[in-house]
Amino acid sequence: MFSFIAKHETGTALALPLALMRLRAGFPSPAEDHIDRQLDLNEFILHPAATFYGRLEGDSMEPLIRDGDLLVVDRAISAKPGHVVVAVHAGEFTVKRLVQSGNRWLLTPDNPTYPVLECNEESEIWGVVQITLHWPSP
Amino acid sequence: MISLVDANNFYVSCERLFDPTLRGKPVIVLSNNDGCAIARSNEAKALGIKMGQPVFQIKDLVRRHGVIVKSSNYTLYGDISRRVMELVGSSVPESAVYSIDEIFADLTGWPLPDLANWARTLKERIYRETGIPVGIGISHTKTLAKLANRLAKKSAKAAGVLVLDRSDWIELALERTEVGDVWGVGRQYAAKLSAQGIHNARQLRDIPDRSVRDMMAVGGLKTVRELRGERCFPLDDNPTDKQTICVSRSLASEVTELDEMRDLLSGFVGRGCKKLRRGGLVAGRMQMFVLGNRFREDRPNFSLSVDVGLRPYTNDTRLLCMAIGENIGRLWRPGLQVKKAGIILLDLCRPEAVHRDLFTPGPISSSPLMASIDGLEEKFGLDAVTVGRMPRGRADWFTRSDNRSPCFTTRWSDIPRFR
Repeated sequence: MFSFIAKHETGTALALPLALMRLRAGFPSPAEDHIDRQLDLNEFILHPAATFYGRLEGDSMEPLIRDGDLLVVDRAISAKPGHVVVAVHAGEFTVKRLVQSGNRWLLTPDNPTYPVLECNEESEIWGVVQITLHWPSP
Repeated sequence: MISLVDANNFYVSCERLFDPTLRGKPVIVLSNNDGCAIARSNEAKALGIKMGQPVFQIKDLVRRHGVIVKSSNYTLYGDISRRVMELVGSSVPESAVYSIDEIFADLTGWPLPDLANWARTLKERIYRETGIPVGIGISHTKTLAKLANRLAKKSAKAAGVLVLDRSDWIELALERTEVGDVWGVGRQYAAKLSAQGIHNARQLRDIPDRSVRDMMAVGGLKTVRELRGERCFPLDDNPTDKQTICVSRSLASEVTELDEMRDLLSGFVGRGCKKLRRGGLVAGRMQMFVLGNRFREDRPNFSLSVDVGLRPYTNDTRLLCMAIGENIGRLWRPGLQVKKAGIILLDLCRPEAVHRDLFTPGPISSSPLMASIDGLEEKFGLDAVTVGRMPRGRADWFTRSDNRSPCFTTRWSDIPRFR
């Protein structure tokens, strides 16, 4: 669906839905009565007050998440085994998959060339990686 | 019952959220221009660093104990505060934000069987979702809730939550609170009361009304009544329309030239007008002021200000910059070494409310140009657009934000990196 950008008098741009239709004198648009709202990625955010954005560095989570990908991290989601999480481990942030092994909790990299980390008393889940964004054609 | 949710060492907590290495260590956050410690972690407090203590006084202490020093980042703190307030606001029927890190809530009529449990759950939820540790105090009035909140933080047993509903607990709590720590009792009143033998909040509560009015003003009587459990302060005590807008800064190095001063004040006025437009207000008066260095004993301390009437009432940055240009001559004199300067916008009101007469043109507000500027700033950040004279990032004026954290939650370029 296109949106036509029209030049406002003072020089600022204004997006007008279906302005194209309106410019043609006389012809009513069959879509006039069905104009819907615009889709917005923000609708995927479940808990806005608890959602933070971050950037992934490194390749410990390849091939799932790549270096430079945008992470949408939700602190209000309860972390479950299998979730990709941002954790604080040994005083640093790390992005790993949460795995339960007996009564041990592990932070595992999807990339097997990286070591598996075992959670201790100081480890903390900072948030669950809810969504990742990748730009395939920069 | 009234509840007060108050963040623990808020600015430090914001910094710790994005830097786990700061946990458990002495950390302080400095005011604008890195002048004074305006937030301290518990470890820093334990070292004796006082609230508002100028940094030059504690340089040695900082070095000796490896105190971590951060410059304030109000953009970051404001955004984290918004999140905490949203969470609390959506958890209670009625609430009122009191400051950047405090919010009162009215729980009257809410059927909560176990207030302490509810508060503990809320505290845990706030930490989990926003990363900010808070204390919660609950009692019959705002003043008692504040009292409870303070004790909640100090007592290890309370673990950050304290409900004072039983009269015997309230008695104990009042006895444990010094009169100067009661909300609304400033240092001067505390000294006065102490001289009369009133040392704790229980003694204060028991003073007869007439004596209270003699020793403290009418506001003092309300405080004492609140200590007795009578609600005197409404939940939302802050008027929605601002009375004045002040924009001021301390400067890294003294300003000695008129032109520099004018540019600086024009910058402040730009910020002030933005706030006016955001509030839908216009101003009828402006004050410009300059101050000398109050900590240097070898230089004369001075305080000069000039009052300018604005006709028509306006929130247009260009007109206010012109007013500064026209009046700075009245303020300036040769040989000044200005350490702090600012502007205050007064006589604020809505454009419709401005008194009109035959000779005064109507108020000038929110022109399309100003609206465009505000829109651009929203998209590209503060100071993206400046008006003629206004300074563009004069680094040497405001530097000394040597250790400011990135805007982790409001700039894409600053979002945290996770490995």
